[in-house]
Amino acid sequence: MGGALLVLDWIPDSHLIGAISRSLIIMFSVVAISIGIGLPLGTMAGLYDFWGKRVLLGMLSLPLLIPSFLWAIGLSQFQILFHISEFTPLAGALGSIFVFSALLIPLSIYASMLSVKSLSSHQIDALVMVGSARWCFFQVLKRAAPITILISLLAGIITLSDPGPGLILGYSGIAAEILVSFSALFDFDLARRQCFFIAALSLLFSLPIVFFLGNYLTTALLAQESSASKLYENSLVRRFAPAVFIALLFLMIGIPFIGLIKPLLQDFEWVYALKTLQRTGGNTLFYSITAGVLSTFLSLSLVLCLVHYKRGKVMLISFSLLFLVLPSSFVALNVIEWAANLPASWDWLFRGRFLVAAVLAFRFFPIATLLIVKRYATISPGWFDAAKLSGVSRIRFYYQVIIPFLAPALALSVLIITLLATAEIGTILLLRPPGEDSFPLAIFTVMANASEVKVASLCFVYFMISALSLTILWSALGRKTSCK
Amino acid sequence: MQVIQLAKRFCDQTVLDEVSFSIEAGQHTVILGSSGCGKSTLLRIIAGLMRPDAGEIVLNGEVASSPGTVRLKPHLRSIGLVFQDLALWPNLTVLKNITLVLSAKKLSAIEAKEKALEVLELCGVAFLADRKPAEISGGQQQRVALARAIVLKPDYLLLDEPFSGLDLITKHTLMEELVTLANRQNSTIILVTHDPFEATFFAKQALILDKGRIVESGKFEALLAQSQNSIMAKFRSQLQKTQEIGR
Repeated sequence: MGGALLVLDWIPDSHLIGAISRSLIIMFSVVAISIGIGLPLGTMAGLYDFWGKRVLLGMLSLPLLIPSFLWAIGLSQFQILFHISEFTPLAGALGSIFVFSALLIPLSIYASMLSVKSLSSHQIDALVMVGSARWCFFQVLKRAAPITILISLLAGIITLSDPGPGLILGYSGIAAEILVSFSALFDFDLARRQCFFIAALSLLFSLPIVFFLGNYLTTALLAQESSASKLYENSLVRRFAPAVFIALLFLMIGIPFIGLIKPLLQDFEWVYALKTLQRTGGNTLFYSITAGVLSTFLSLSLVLCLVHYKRGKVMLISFSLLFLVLPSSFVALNVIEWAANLPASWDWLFRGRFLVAAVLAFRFFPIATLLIVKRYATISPGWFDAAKLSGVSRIRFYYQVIIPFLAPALALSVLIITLLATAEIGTILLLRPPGEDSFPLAIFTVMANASEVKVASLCFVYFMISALSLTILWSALGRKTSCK
Repeated sequence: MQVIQLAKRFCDQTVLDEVSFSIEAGQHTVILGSSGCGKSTLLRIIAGLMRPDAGEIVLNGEVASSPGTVRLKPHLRSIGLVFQDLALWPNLTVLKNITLVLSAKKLSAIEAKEKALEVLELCGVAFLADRKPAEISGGQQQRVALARAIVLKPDYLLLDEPFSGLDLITKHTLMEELVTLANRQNSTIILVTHDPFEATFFAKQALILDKGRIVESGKFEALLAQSQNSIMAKFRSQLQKTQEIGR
């Protein structure tokens, strides 16, 4: 009898089924939109040159570095401030789709662009010599389509575990339900059960992709940019591409940004924003930098241990992708339960700031792994053979050759994960010790109670810091490219 | 060096099948064969970088490899290898590419540097010591790879199609210098190639490898004149055509 009741507990009720359906509607809509827009634009950016391409593509990555709830606040404010909510209902499902699309479209664009870049200029020349420019474009687009679709699908699964936009725009999915169960209802068991469903759902979609297409994904993700690839000229693209990208940026970033900063025209709460930054800045840096360093170190160790095995590379990539789509709350809630059963003498490690950083590091280690494996894949097996033949010690060889060779990927990994960890709120919200908020979490917790001006001031400061970080990231990437 | 009944399989494909031959010291040998016939695999097994499935490699009277086992580690075989892709370490300077190899010999930093510069001088690339491999030409990279292979004065110098992709003049100059260097160091060259010109340049002895088996072996000149094997017949006709054009 007791066992039956336990099983009944795990059967989702209609409320939960409703939340799951809403999450799925959002996921599939966003995936379709991001493929529809990202695939052609990414192919175009990979194939042709046009004015301001580097800057425009760089700006596209801004939504990835800012928590999605900020875009949702911006969108919501935009409608209120300009009184357009009755004409364009960008709240509810449409609003959530709008916000998540802004996150997924850049990923689809980058995925298809990289896929195009792995073609050599001779391969593209061969197409150019056979058919018209349009035909050639569609052939290249077909080549980029599979990996773009797969990446968009996997990224779409991640939207299942993001509660922010749904909560703010009034279309709560399963992730929002977990947050409410944990933070408002204080029902840990319910949160855990909901978390189990979301994790099962994520794995249900991602497992077949990774299991059946693991080899294909590994080859496609590790495809190196062809050094011979060149950018083609097309008058139509040269004329219209910048306008298309600027329009996309305005839609994705401009509208929410205007919504975010419009209240600042009345007043700017500098002191409040800077005090909040001062209070939370140390934690934010600690969480994000520690996560960046830890996850890069963890990934490097995994790569060095596994990559030499026959199927090591495929296993690493597949496992990384699966881990990446698991909801952050799934890991966090399990860690909470685990830490609760430990004796108090472990509190310094398992109930402190370090735990938050460590869980963030686990959350993002797949990204570090992808970056490091991609760089590692360019190493010729001959390097190891040459070292073996001359009897160079393994430690010396790794210290002098392999680690310095991987250094650009390691630095990039620390930088990217630091930025992504800064924007992550789910893990920090669930795991932070009392009073140890990060800056984005401080915005998240005050947004419902503080005045519009205060929220806008905080958002503006965060936005500016992210834009500055993005500039540093892109200049680092540019230096890496020019060094090749 | 003796290679006895050597065999190697990858999955269900036999790459080497009962390969046997011996090479005397100073007897430069060419292993000829078309692409995919197992030439590079043979070199890797000789170098100890791969285990044979059957057969043995005997070096200076000692069994270096036996079925499924590498008994003598690669660095104890006194073998230098120039790889097809050269495999220079790109983040190290030319000088450090050589001194890292010397690090295994427990020399002092100054001694290692002196020795490295000496071998680079011998290969005509000492002036590039501070450059990285990506900053020098293909021919210069070949010389650096050669310097790295000979710096430990190996008994055997294995060359895995190292001249492919070079222009004719650079290739000719390099081959001449290589033979001189090998003779000076008493190294025996084992060259893997499918290029008849490279073969005629080096060979005292030739082995013809076809589908993983040695189909003919002997003095290169005799094989070139008499062999009925299709590979040698093609070599012969190609050489004749070139000679006719030369006249």
